[in-house]
Amino acid sequence: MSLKEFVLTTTVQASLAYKARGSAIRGALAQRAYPRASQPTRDRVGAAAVQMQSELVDDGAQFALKCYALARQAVEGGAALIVFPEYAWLPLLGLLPSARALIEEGFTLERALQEPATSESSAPRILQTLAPAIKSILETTGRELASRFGAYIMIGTGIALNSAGQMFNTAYLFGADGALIGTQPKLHPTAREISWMTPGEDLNIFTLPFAKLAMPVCMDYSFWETTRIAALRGVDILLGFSAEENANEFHLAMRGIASRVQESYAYGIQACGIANFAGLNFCGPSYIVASIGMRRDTTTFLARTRTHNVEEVITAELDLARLRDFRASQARDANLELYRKYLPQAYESYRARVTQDGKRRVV
Amino acid sequence: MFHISTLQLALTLVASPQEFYERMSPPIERAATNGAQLVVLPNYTGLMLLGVVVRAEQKSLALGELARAGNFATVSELLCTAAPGMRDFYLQIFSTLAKRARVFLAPGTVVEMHAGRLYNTAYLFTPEGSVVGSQKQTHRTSREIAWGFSQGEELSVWDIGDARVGFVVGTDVAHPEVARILALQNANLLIHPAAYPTYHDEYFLLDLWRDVQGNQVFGVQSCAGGEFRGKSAIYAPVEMTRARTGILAQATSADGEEIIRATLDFDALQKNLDAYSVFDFFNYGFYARAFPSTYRGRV
Repeated sequence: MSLKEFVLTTTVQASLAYKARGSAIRGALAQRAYPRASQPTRDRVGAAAVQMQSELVDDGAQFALKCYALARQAVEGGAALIVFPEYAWLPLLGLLPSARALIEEGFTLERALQEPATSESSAPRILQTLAPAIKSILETTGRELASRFGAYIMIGTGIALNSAGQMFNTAYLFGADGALIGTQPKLHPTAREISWMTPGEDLNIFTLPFAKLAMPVCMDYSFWETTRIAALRGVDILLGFSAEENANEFHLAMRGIASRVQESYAYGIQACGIANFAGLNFCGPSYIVASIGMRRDTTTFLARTRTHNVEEVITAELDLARLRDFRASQARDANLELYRKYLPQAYESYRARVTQDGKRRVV
Repeated sequence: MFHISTLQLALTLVASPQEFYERMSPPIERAATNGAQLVVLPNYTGLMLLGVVVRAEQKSLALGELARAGNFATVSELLCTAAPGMRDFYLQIFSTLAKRARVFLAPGTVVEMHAGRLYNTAYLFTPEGSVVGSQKQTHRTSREIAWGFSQGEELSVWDIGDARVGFVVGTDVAHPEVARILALQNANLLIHPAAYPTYHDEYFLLDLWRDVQGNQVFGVQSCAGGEFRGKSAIYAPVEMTRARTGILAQATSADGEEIIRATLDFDALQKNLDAYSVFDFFNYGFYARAFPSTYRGRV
């Protein structure tokens, strides 16, 4: 690192640390009113999906206040379990010096992230610099909102760094007492993430007093493996969140969590981010779904946002007692011999073939 | 280009092999006349032949009533007794029909005995009438468990021209492991003989559509009508269909008899995969670590 780069990095880090400071976030949130979330029971829980519009903010406090307003809508709608979108951290790009000017000049995040991380000013290195501020702001915001509302909050995904400097797209779940229950790094990166994101290694299951939860991230729902493992580990509610450009194409979107809850006998909450800057065009709609057949009507949707491109909060009551009854009535016929024979060996054979051929060939 | 047809047929008991032949022959020949190279029929077609073994007044496939009418203690006993005869008729008749129509024929399933166990098995015939292969159903509904069906423990794929096909038999469609294992073995066309008890507009989330999207292959689903419900369909990845629905062709009703056809372009499928293959994003390490212990511990 050159002296110039060192000075620049140090200055940016100091500025970010200041803008992310927890005391400012706590101070801003302390001045707001907090209706208490209705307490979930083993039989039912109110759930919310927050379809959040990304707009650049100047500091952590501004971000926290935006999240507050959305979480309050969710709580007032009866939710005790609130899900924010993937890439909830995007507004925090505004913390970077000159970010607004760059975006106005046509900077696109996707193009920038494909650049090799050769200098301190490359996009992946800038994200590494921003990551601690993102983590700090998400954690403080999540902790404060969860404890003040008395709600379980998945505050969205941020960028987590490990000691080797690898970046993960990681979701954060907070308990109603404000404690961080756990995190989940994304297991399957998308094409635009693969150059900078390291995939997670395992799927975590969170046992809450009312239900078991898992929170695979966006693309993870394109792979039934993720939710099959969650289901076999006893999950009742799948928290889903995405930041996608094609989420408003009905059949494309149906390949994700709406398909996965059918195999998993679980509820699913899909919260979509909306973004229209830095070359991003993320959209909804967001929805809350149940396995078809669990209820008298024949739709998988318990709630859906009215729009795909406007900030909205939707809520629905998840009937956990009904879920248990449904599962009991739908005994699954597993085939252990078959799974033992092919899984995971079939993946390895496929990988060897693709390595040899250079790509997946179907003709 | 590969032309396929799927037949949506009402399943009813037949009184004789001749009646079965006369029932199956016209739609298969019509599909072949329309250019089909592969014709697919629904799940449980072979059960129609139970009427040959048990002389009963009823036409419906209510096996409990049929067992009682034939003085069998259980459905399982009825099926064990009838299986060898049904299988013989099924193989003979569909071999003849494949040969007559000059098509690859996937004529649904037949109940068969193998090493003292009952299986629901799908067969595939060549245009010369010989058997390409057979696929035992690997997962069962609770009703099929009560009938005494066992689980198949192999999944195979076969080359038939440009198509490399594998079967997702009946309720195997509820288990995404099946389609994935077939796709990992390079299947590019999944054949799903189905007999659903019900149908509604979002049923595609439960049927072969889901497997086709998740594995980026073609899929053909043949639904039984009559006392069963479902819309037979030919599916492709969403990006390959004009209306971006993932549906190349679909029956217009959920209970009537229809012939549905479509042309599969495997070169276009390859181009679709070259542009974006979801398999490129497998997390091999995660599956290798999680599957053995999770299946062992929880199933």
